[in-house]
Amino acid sequence: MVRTPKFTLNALLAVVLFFSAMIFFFTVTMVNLSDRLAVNEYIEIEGTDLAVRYSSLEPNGIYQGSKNMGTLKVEGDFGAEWGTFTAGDCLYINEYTATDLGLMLCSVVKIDLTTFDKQVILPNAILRGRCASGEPVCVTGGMLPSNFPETNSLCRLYNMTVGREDITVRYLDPGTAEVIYSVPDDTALQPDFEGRYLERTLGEVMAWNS
Amino acid sequence: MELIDRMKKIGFSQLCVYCYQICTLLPLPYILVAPGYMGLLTHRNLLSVLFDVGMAALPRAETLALSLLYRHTASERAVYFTMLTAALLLGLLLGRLLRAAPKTAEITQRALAGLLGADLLLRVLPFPCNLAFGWAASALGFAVEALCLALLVTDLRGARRSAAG
Repeated sequence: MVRTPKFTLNALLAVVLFFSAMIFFFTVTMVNLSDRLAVNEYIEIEGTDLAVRYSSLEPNGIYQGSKNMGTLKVEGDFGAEWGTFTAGDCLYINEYTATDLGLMLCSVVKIDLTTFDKQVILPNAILRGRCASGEPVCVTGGMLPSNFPETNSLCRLYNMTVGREDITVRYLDPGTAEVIYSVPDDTALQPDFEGRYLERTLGEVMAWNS
Repeated sequence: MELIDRMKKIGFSQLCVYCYQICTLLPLPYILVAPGYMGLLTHRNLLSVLFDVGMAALPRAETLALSLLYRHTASERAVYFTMLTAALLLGLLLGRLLRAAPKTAEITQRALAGLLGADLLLRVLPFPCNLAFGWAASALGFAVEALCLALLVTDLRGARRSAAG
């Protein structure tokens, strides 16, 4: 008996799996390679001998010591542009994680400056600075502009299990890093953020929102 | 008439498996093409709509598992290959079970119907994740899953009728 070969959906899936493995790995690798420029940026963190370093030659991270001769203390992609500050022996800073396709995810982390242990305080959040009374101010739920669930299907998938989808402004206790006050605010990522939250004390913001 | 005969030959349960596999394939072009055209990630477009529909039409448990995987690995590659491999493995496994002895096939159909029923119930509960891809995609996902359940129930009824006859 002669059996005629059948092209089933399973066979199609197997073929797609094989070819897309090649295409996907090739395109992602090529895009990553073409993005690579020689960089060596060094952003000092005020009041410390630490600096955030982005480099294509050395690992990115927080370095201690003089420029280019410093020692790597914590590895990772940290961002000092939104506000980085120390309170006692703790450093509050944003940490970015890039996905394969280049979406930037952001978390607020606390780094112990004696042991250099890193602790994620708020995942999917951005540290935006300090308010007039000194508390760190973070925005959760909104993430970076390229990661809005409304415009990006992958971010919708990512956000499905995040739990906090609403954009909320959170005030942290500088000592314990616990959330002491939260204000849900869909417009928190607008340019007037500084005037509404950073230039006021926590008491003023609480009175304004009550 | 010919179509009905062919469908009977394929089996409604097998159609249900095909439905699931096709839904799994829908989001793949979006992820596959995105590395070359980053604009796809920042604008709503047809591929993005396909992604939404495909993800909403998958069983909730799988979509949530993929979301968790995405959060922990931050890798679209992991999501892509997990989806594709799950569709392939499930297709192979269920295809084999449904073509096995009638008793095994019936147990498989009952188990699948039970899972789909539970999943449909989960979809109507007011969890935020149920509307993650918007109303339209969620409604279409519900309809696809309800259709799959109907196909399985039709097969089960047919098997019971032929056993009684």
